[in-house]
Amino acid sequence: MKKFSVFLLFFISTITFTVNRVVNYTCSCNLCVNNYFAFLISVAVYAQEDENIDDIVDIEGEDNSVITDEESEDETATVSSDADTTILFTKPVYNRLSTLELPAGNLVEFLVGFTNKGESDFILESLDASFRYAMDFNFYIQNFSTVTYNKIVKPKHEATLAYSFIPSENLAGRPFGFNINLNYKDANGISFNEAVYNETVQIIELDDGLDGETIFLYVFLAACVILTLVGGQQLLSSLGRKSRSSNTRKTPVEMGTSNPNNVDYDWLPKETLNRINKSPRTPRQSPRQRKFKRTDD
Amino acid sequence: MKWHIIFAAFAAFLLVTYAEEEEEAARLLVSKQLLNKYLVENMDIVIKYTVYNVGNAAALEVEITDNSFHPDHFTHVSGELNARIDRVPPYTNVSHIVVVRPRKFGYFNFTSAEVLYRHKEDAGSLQFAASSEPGEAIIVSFRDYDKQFSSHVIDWAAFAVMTLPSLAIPFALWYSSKSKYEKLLKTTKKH
Amino acid sequence: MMNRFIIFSILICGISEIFAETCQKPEVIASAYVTEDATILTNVAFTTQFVLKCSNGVKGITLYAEVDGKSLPAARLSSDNKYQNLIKIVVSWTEDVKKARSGDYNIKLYDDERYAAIRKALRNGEDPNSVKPLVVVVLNNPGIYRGPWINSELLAVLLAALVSYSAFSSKFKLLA
Repeated sequence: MKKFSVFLLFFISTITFTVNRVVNYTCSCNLCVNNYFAFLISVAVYAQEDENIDDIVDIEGEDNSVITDEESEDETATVSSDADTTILFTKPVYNRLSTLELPAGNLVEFLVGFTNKGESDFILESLDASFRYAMDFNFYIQNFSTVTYNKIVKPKHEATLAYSFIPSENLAGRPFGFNINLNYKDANGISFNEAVYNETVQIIELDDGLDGETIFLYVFLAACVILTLVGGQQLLSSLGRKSRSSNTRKTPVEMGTSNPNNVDYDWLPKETLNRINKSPRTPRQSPRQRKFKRTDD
Repeated sequence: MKWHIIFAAFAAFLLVTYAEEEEEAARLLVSKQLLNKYLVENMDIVIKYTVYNVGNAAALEVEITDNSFHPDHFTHVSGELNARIDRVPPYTNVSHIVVVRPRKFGYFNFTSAEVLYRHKEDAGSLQFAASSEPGEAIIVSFRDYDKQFSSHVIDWAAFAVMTLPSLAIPFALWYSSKSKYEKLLKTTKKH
Repeated sequence: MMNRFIIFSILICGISEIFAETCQKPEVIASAYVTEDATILTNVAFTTQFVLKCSNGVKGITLYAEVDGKSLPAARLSSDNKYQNLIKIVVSWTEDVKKARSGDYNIKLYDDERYAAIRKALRNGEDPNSVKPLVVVVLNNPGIYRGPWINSELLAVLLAALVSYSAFSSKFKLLA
């Protein structure tokens, strides 16, 4: 890959060189505009085609659900005596001393451990999490999707479930009731619903300042603006110069001693004029140079 | 052998310090994570097993075994799919990394790894724990990945070659006329 | 016959454990793997494998590893029993793609005694580097590839801008 980029640089520099020279010519003829626009347009189209790269599936299954205000169904937490659950927040790290603080808009991950202490199998069906109004836990503020696991835990075995979510950014700065529910059933088909975590948490706002990407974006935008300004100024000045130069050409020029016969040299091509000026007969030439020229002859 | 001495000493220490607590045992939570943005055929997949000990005793002889990577589907690159960590102290975590490469593309269900450990130093049987499951994920074929993420050097080169004639022909014409004119200029200058 | 053999072997094992608890003259063969192509990864993985051979044939020692001040467990292979006198261990860790540095990583291996000494030194506020590790293995990370440093599209646009600038400037030069 690196080799390729080096090759690309080399290749492109050569192309630039040739293209430069070519465009010098093409722009002086009528063909240039067409040619040039075709090139630009094809570049633009190509770039556009390349930008559609977002259809790859993200493997982290987090979800952002919309804020919903709804009344809860019946909240009957039933726990099997043979089951033992634990919870551990792995991101952010939580020391269990203060209230849990979750960063708004950032990924939160936790693990739920389940131990089967009984003699028959358990089936861990699903896990869901929700933010609720801190005063009234029946009032839902943000619901996260129910993740289905369907994991069988044999007697005396343990299992771990992982769950991750992103708290909504507009919940920042307020305490909420956070509820995590584990749904499981035993071998007889009796369903249980255990609130693994049911406490008030604080949603905090992480101000990681200006990150490098946005700074770079602003710098880039500023550079673009300056570039367009410079380009426009140059364009205007060159246009002005052109009109001025045509004006000056029309006005009669004081030729002084170099043009004693009052000859209009305007119609002559530049090269010829130069040659005339360089020719030894012009009185403008310094005598030293004349001497030199003579010796040359 | 030496293990047992250390473990016994540790257990004795624990017994002294936590004598009033009724139950003390290690309790492990095991997470299995994929540290990839995209899963691509024949490119590295980094799998991280993290063992969190949330119990109040050290977990001993923690053995992580992952049989979910069948050799028909994955090539093992680095790390060990069957590793043993002698001791995980309480309230700490330990991680272990394995790198594999998928041989085929398509959907693949990443299932859990198995962990066997001794949750007490005098536990008769080993405790079995299943890790979390990364779940089903799609493994992208290398061609699709390359189509979207390669630097498209060849495409651009082809494009440059295609645009070359339309630029090179007028340039050649101009250059020939220019050189002709310059030659003419030189000859006139000589006279 | 078989029984006697087993007893004998246990005895040997026990004696060796009692008499030689530390690894003497360790010889190490290390192999490492670093995920260099980090275009599709969130974390760079470093995995190293050591085969440790002690001249006195010690096998049952615990090893601890330390890299950049982080202490890591040395995971053993479950199947290491079949290797005579060899200790096969794996040390692995990950680093964030943005934070991973290139260059040499010193992996220091400590046995029980030295590790305890280090912790004691840390507790007493002494320099833990005074404890000499059992083995130091250097892992070189040649640098990870994060994708091409310039987008081909961006390059094409820059090229087009350059061409257009040169074209217009030369055109105005001719017309002026």
